[in-house]
Amino acid sequence: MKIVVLVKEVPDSYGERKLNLTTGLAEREASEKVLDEITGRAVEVAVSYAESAQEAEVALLAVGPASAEATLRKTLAMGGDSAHHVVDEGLAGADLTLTAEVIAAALERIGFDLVIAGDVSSDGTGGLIPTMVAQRLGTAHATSLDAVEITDSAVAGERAAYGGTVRVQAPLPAVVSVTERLPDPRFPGFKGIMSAKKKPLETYTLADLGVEAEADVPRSIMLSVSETPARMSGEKITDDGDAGTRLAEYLIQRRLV
Amino acid sequence: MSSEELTSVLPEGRVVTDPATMDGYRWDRANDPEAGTPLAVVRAESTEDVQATVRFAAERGIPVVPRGAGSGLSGGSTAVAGGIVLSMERMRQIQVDPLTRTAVVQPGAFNAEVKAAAGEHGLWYPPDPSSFEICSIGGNIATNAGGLCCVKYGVTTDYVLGLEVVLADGRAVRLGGPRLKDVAGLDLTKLFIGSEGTLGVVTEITLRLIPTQRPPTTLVATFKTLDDSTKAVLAISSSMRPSMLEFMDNPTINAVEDATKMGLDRDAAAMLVIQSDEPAEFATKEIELIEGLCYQHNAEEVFYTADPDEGKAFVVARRMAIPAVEQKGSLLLEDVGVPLPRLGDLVRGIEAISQNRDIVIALIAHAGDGNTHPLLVFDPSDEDQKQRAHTAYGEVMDLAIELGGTITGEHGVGRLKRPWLADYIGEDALDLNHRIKRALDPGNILNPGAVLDPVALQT
Amino acid sequence: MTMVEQNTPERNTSEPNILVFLPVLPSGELLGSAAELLGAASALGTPVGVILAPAGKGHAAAEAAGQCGAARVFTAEHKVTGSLLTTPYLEVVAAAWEATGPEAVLVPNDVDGRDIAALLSVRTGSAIASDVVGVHRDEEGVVAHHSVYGSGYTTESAPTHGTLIITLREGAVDDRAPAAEPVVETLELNGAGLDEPPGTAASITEFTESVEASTRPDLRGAKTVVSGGRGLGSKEGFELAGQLADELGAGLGASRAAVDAGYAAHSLQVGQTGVTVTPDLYIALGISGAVQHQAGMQTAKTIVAVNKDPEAPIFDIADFGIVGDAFEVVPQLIETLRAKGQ
Repeated sequence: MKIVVLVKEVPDSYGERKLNLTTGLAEREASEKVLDEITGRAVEVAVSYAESAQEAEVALLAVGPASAEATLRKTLAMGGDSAHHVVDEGLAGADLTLTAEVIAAALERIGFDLVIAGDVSSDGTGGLIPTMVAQRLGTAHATSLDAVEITDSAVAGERAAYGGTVRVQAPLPAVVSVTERLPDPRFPGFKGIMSAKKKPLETYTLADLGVEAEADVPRSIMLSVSETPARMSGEKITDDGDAGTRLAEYLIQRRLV
Repeated sequence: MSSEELTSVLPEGRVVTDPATMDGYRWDRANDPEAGTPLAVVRAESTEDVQATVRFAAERGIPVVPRGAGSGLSGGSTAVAGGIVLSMERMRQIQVDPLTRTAVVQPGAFNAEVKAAAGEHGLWYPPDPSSFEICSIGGNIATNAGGLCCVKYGVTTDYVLGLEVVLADGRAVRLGGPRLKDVAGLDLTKLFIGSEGTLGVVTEITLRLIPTQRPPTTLVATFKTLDDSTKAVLAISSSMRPSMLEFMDNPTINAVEDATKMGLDRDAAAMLVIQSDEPAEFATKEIELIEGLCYQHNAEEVFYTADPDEGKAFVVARRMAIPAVEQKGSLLLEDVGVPLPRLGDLVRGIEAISQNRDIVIALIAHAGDGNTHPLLVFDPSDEDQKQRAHTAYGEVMDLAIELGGTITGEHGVGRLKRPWLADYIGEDALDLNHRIKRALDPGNILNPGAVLDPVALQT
Repeated sequence: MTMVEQNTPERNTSEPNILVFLPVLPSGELLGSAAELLGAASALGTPVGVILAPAGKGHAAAEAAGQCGAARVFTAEHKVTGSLLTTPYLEVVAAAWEATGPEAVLVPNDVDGRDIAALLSVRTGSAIASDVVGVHRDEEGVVAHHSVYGSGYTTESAPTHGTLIITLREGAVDDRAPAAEPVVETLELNGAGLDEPPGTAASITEFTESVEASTRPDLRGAKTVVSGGRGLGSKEGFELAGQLADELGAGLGASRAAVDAGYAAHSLQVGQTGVTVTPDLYIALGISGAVQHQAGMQTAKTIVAVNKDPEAPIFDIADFGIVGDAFEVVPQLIETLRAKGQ
């Protein structure tokens, strides 16, 4: 069984995140780059399965700038067996269509039985890539799973549906994504860190994958970017025993209740 | 006496009396269930505010509990019923003088803020209690706080050159100053450091800074027996000067592994986390020598890295220790220390207490200082277990005293450990403490009940 | 797929069709987001609803869509259990696409909506705009608005060419379309297997209808949201937030700290990781307001915060902040509102 985890490096959402107001691209220097929290959970699903399975291999795939290599190494330290990094200037500002094309091409190159991703990234908030990739690869998708069970030939789990939850099952090969309900990821320990140094990490360009960033297909482009004005604080009072009443008056006056 | 009178002697906005807000000022991290409800909280903004508050209290015999960030672990800033909590949270200016490599700081500034301000000038304020991001310098002075790098760089007092202190009668005095050498008169600066707010209220501190620490090389070693690990500690600390030498025992390792799944050896009896911050080539040499000493003492596995980020990940195991053990139940947190050659006896003795009382004790230690933090874990809903934990808590301190050690290395006596103070320092030293306290604070208005027994003080 | 009933009316052909996928609950009711999806669509062109309903419920759902402004509705009926995942939804949307040649397709930004958008985008080779908070039309076509990095930035995007597929964030759009008499067209699904080759789709083996214990409005679409944090101290204490929510007819939310502490269900989490809400009124009780929480609620029109800690960051963005104990303030608030008959 070969599991590939889609690894995303994101600006740390606990710190300040900035967009360049001219290019609309993320200001890479503005914030620390970290492994997206939800990716950590995807890695945990893969690694904990691999620990219990007879023959399972966990490969990690990241599409992103050179800095993503450090994130891939950290992820290898959590227990991945190999890492794959697509890095190319042509990827700057890539839309979802191009990103999905690149990931699908890389997955075809690496080979896989099961692909695991986080459901929604903390920077892009799209939640579309896993299913787009599945469709490009012609495999089943089972996204936003709140619980995951992996067997030799299938993957199953639960997810939200309109008015309830559904249990879904997909034959392998398949692409799944997991939600925050999955267990916390493990910390990379010193043994993992030391062994990660020796694990293979391969890089690819778009040309290696036969993807053309400039291809004339419909793309989403950014027209404008502006900073949202900072929210100002208003009235602040200390409760002297009548704050509840004063709040009631405030709400009534503004017709909020 | 009403709080309005207090409000009238202070500028507007300093005095808080509404119960909801005052609630936030009644406890420190010791969470003393006996904490009183204060008459008022004063959020001082200047030395003059502190003086006015203390004078007001002195005239009326009202207790004053000075308070930094409330991160204390011994109940040193637990509020006293009917007293005034004197919070220093708004006094947090920091001025760094790179020329003399000193900083003049107000007591409310966080340790981390002082570190950051020094860092801007390529300088470093070393003392690093684990709470450095949430504890104040004033609190650090009050408890003479330590931390992880003390093994090489010393504790808070080693970096304090001068103080401004408001005395119990409201006078402000300046002691010491930006001078490395100063032997004029008794060393009163030292007298106030570690006095837990019982002798005066510190309103300004002159700190000594040193050049920024070099990135460390980090080593982790595991051992099959406690004996091997404590002997390795002794061998290392008697021949090397690591900048960190931390110890974790088996219950701690397992709690951390439960919380992090980082692949720690659950069977190891102990683990050491060691750093060298010598310049690169020497750091490697030092760490290799330390590695050799670990193996000589039957270390199971030893890893090291010169990469600072990886080093940080190595240290996570130690940093996670208290939060990880906290997930196992309520904690009683000890702070006992012994001379290094007795570390093995202490560790074994604590293991015996744990077995006798059937209480999980997870042990972490700033091993290079001989300063240990046994964490007694109990289920608060199990009354019998809770009682056994409290018994064991006292027994650990008795054991430390027996081994020529201290009941507290860096957290302070506060209100929690006061019953053990006399046993530890002895009658004569206690008498000296009482005489000094009476001389400086005859009305016992400054943090009464902390460190010294108010009844014993009067006799 | 075959079309069993077709009744093409006289239409203003100059106005582009905007397809809107409208989710239906097992009861046959439209999901609350229908009004804003159709409202957003009406700002761009003619709203055309697409509905896949439980057996026998299609027609009523189509009429409800008309009430929300759908000028035309495609409906089909099916059974969730035993069908393939997403595929039936995709098939109805694709059939409606074929019939209308839409300029844009709007789906809700939820678990199923995202899958529909993703599959449709790859299948039709169309550009996609995700987590959209508003739309408008300029001289070149459809423009989507996004709120980036926890609403720190506002951006606009558009497709280079072709149809734009949009996943719309719930609660973000205020536009509503006037009620219409929709032309209803019924589609027939060819069983559950559909056109997918075997082995390339997940199947739904079980459906469990959620039994909502409370009648509280859904957090995402609620006009008022009351959220509780760690400061409420316990699971029992958290009920204070529930009480106020019920008093105000508000949705109930929670901070991550409260969820992690086990005070509230995960589905209530507001913030960077969790639900993003844009209510008219957001009341935060015992929430310190870390950046992560703010990312999920700072676009609320009015923010009220009650916290014991005067330094809590939530006060930096609150329109009305109370330094005090929520357990004192909230009961008094409820009492006063009742007394004033609000």
